[in-house]
Amino acid sequence: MIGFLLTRLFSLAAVALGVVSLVFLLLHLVPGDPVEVMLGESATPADRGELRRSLGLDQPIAVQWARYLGKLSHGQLGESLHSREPIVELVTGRVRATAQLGAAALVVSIAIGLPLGVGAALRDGRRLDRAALALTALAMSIPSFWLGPMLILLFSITLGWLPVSGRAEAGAIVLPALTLGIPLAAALTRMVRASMLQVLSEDYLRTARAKGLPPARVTVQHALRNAALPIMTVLGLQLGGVLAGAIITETIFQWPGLGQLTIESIQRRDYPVVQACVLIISLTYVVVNAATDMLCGLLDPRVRMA
Amino acid sequence: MTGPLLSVSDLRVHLDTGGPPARVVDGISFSIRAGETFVLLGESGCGKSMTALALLRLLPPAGRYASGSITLGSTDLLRIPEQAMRDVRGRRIAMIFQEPQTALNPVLTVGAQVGEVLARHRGLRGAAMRDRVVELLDDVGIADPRRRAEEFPHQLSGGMKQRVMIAMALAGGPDLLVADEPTTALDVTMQAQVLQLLREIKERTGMAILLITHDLGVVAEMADRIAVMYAGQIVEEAPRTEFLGAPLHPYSRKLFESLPDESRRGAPLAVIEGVVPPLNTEFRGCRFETRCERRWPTCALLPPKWIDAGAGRYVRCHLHDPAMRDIPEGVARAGRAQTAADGPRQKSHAAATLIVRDLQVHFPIQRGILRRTVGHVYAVDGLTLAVPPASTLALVGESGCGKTTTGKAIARLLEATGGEVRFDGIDVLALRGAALRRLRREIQFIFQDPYASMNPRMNVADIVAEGMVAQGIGRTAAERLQRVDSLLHQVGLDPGAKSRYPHEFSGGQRQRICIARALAVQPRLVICDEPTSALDVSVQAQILNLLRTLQEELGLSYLFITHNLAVVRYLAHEVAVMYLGRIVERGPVEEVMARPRHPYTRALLSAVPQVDPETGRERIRLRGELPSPSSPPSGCHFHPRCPVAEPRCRERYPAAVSVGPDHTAHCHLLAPP
Repeated sequence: MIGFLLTRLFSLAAVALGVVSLVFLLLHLVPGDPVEVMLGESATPADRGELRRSLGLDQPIAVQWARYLGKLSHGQLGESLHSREPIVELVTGRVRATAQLGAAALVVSIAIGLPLGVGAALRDGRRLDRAALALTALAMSIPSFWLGPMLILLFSITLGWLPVSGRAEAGAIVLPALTLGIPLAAALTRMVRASMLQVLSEDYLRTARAKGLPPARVTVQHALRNAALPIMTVLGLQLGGVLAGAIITETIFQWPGLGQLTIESIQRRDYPVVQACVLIISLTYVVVNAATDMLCGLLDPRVRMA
Repeated sequence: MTGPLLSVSDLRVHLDTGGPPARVVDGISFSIRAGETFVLLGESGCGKSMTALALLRLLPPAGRYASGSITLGSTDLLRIPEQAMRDVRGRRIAMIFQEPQTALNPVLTVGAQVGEVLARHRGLRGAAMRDRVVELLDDVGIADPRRRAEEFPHQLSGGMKQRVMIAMALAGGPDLLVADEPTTALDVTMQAQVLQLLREIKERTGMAILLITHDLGVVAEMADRIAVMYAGQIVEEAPRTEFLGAPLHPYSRKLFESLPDESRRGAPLAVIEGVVPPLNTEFRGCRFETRCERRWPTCALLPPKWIDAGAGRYVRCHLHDPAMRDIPEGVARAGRAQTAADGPRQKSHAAATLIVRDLQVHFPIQRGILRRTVGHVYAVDGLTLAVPPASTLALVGESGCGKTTTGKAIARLLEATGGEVRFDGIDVLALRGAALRRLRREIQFIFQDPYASMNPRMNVADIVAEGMVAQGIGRTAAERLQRVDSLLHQVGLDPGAKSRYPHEFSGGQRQRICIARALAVQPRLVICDEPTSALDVSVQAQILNLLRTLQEELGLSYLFITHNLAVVRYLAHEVAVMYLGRIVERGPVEEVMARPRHPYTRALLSAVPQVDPETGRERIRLRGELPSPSSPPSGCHFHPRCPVAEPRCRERYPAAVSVGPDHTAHCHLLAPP
C-alpha cells in the first residue's frame, strides 16, 4: 500500500515538473517581448538591454529555465507587471475563492448526479431513466454564459432570493455553484448510469442477491462500490475541465477567483500573472487526477497490487 | 420427514425479447428429496440455468413466470412476497455458480463476503462472525483460513474461489444447494477436489443438492437421480444406475454416443444433426423430432406424453409409449455408434514436422518505481517435444502449467527466451521479417474462444480471406472469394454465410469459421489451443470429426493443447503431459493412457470423472494446487503433491527414463536405484 502511494507520488512529481517546464516554454514561444510591454514603445535600446539583463532574459534558455525552477521551489512566482505586487499574494485569495466555488459545484453535482444516475440504472429503459437521459442531454448542451444570466434573472431579479453577483453577501455562492455544477451533474448522472448498468449485469451481483441481501445493500455495498471506480476516474478529468470552465462563470458572477484574475491579466497583458494562473490551473488538474488515481487504489485492491 | 423437500410443478418461464416470448422453461415438474443429489443435465440453451434461477426467483428482468408452482416444504415460493423470499435465499436455498472468477465481488475481502451471509441469516456480528467465517473456510478445505479471510478474490486461485463460494453457500445452513455447473471452469484435478468436497458436505449436513451440468462424467460421479432437459422440457428422468446403464430417450443416447473416447478412435463421433429449435416457435410434435434418427410420422404431429417406464424412470418419447403399438419395424432398434479400428496413422519417426528442444519462455517480474527485475516466471522451462507429419500430438496439463505459452512461443506469437524450435529443419526462433511472415503461412493457430478471436466488425469472407491477402494467396479478390467458398464448404458451412458477421453464428459454427481461417493459408501445422472446451458435447463431436477428417484429407499436423483427456484419447496419436513448464511424460497415446507411469499422469487420469455406472475404481487425489511458476519447488517439481515422493525427489530434477517403446517419463521412482 505504502509502495503504491510512493510510486504514484513519484509519478505526480515527474508530471508536475513536465507541466511547469511546458508552461515556461510556451510563454517563451508566445510572440511579443515582455521587455517591450514593460517599457513601452518609446524606450531606448540601452534601457531595454539594461532591463533584459536585470530580468535575466539575456541568458540561454536552459539557464532561465533552471532559475525559474529554483525560484518556484522557494514559492516565488515573481511580481505582477501591472500592480508590482508579488504574485503569490495576488493569487492566494483568488485560489481560495475558486477552490470554494469548485467544491460547491462538486457538491451540487454529486448531490444530483449520484442518486439520479443510480436510479436511472436501476430503472433501465423505464420512465425515470428516459427522463434522466433527456434532462441530462439538455443540461449538458446549455452553455454557462446562458445558464448563468437565466439563473440571475429568475432567482435574483424576479424572485429576489439571492444576490446577483460578488462574493460578499451570504448565499452569493449558490448561483455560480449551480451554473458550474449543473453541467457536471448531468455528465456525472450519465457516467453513474453507464457504470452501474455495467456492474448490475455482473455475476457477483447475482451472487449477492442469491445470498438474500436486501436491495439497498446489494446496490450500495456490491454495485456502487464497483461502479465507483470508473466514475471517479472520469470525474477527476471532468473536475479539471470545470476549473477551466470557471473562467466564464466567475466572469458572469464577478466571483473574485482565479479565472477572473486570468481574464483580467490577459487583458492587461500581465504575462507573469497569466503564467502563474496557467501554472496553478494545470497543476490542480494534475494533482486532482493523481488524487483520484490514489483513491481508486484505496477502493480497488486489484489496482493497488498491480 | 415425509414428502419431498422441493417440488416443482408445471413451471413455465418466458423471456420477453420482443415478438413471441421465448419459452425457456416450458412446463417442467420434478421433486427433490432431502439429502439427495438431483442432476439437471442438458446442453447450453436447454433452460437448465434458467430453471435454477427461477427456483430462487432471480430471473433476469426480461423473464417472467407464466405458470406453475415451486413448493419448498409447505411454502409456495411463487406466492410469497419478495421480502419473505429474501429469507429463503441464502438461508434455505443457497446457490453456487459456474464462474467463481466473476461470481465473487472483486473489491470486498473473502471474509466480508462470507460474513455478510452470517450477519443476514444467522445474526452474527463482530468477533463471533469472524470466527465462524474462519471455521467455514476451514470446513471447505482452505488452508490458513484466518489469513485467507482478509484476502481479496483476485489473490485466490479458481479452485479456492469456488471453495469460498461453497463456504458462502453453507454459511446460511441451507436445506438445498443449487450448484450451476460448479466445476465447468475448473481443471480436472480441481474438479475432483470440489466434487469430493460437495459429497462430503452433503453427507455431513444432509443437505440436498440440485446439480446442473452438461458433463456426463460429473453425472456419474455425483447423481442420485437425473433429469435430462431439452428445449425447455424434461425429456427423461431416471435413477443413476438405470440412466447410465441404458438411457431411454434418443437424445440422452446421442449425448452418450457423442462423447469422445478411446473405443471410438478412427471412427467419426455421433453427432446430433441440426440445432436446438428456437424456443419462441409453436411446437406441435416432439421438440427433438427434427434431429432424431428414430423419428416416425407421429413424432411431428403429436407431442409425446410423459411415460412411466417403471423402476422410477420416466421418458417423454413416443417410442416408449405403450399406447403407440404401430411403430414401424426397425425404428425402435437403437443404433449405438459403431466402434471401428484405429484410423490410418503414421508412426513417429525422425522426419518430424516440428521439433522443439529445451524451449524456455521466462517472463521477468518487475517491481518498484524503476521497474527492476526481481525474479522470473518460468512459464516454459526446458520443454522438448516433436510432432511427426500428419499426426496429432496432444499437450495436456492443468491450467497455468504453460501449455498455451508453449503454443504461442512455437508460433512466434511470444518470444522464447531459450531453446530451439525447428520446423522442417528451419530454425524458427531465428526468423526475422519476411521469413517470419512466411512461417505464419505454415503454422496456424485455433483458439479456445472462437468469438473473442474474430473481429466482430468484419464479415466471414473478410475474416477468412485476410490471411490470404497477407500471404499473397490468390491473385484477385474474385479468386480469393472463390477459395473462401470452398473453404467454408470444407468446414461444413454454407458458402452463403460469407457475408454475415461472427455474432450471427452459434459457438460451433464460429469455431468452424476459425478453422476455415486457419486453413486459408494452407498451413502444415495447426496449433489448436483448447478448441472445443467452450463447446457443448454434441458440438464438440462435430468439431473433432471435422479436425480428424481435415487431417486425413490434407495431411495436417496438430499440436493439440487441451486439458480434456477424453479428447486426447479420441484424437491424439501421441501425448505429452506437462507440469509446471516441463514435460513429465510422453509417448504414444494408447501406451500412456493404458499404462501411465508418472505419478502426475496417473493422478490426472484418475481425476477424470468416468461415465461408468461402476464405482470403486482406484482414485489418486492430488492435494493442493499447481505451485507458482515463479518459484518452482526444488528437485522434481511435482514432489510436494506427489503421493509417492521420496527424499531424493526433493534434491534434483529426474532425468528421462524410457519405460516402453517411445514412452518416457521423468521420475526417480522409475529409474533403477
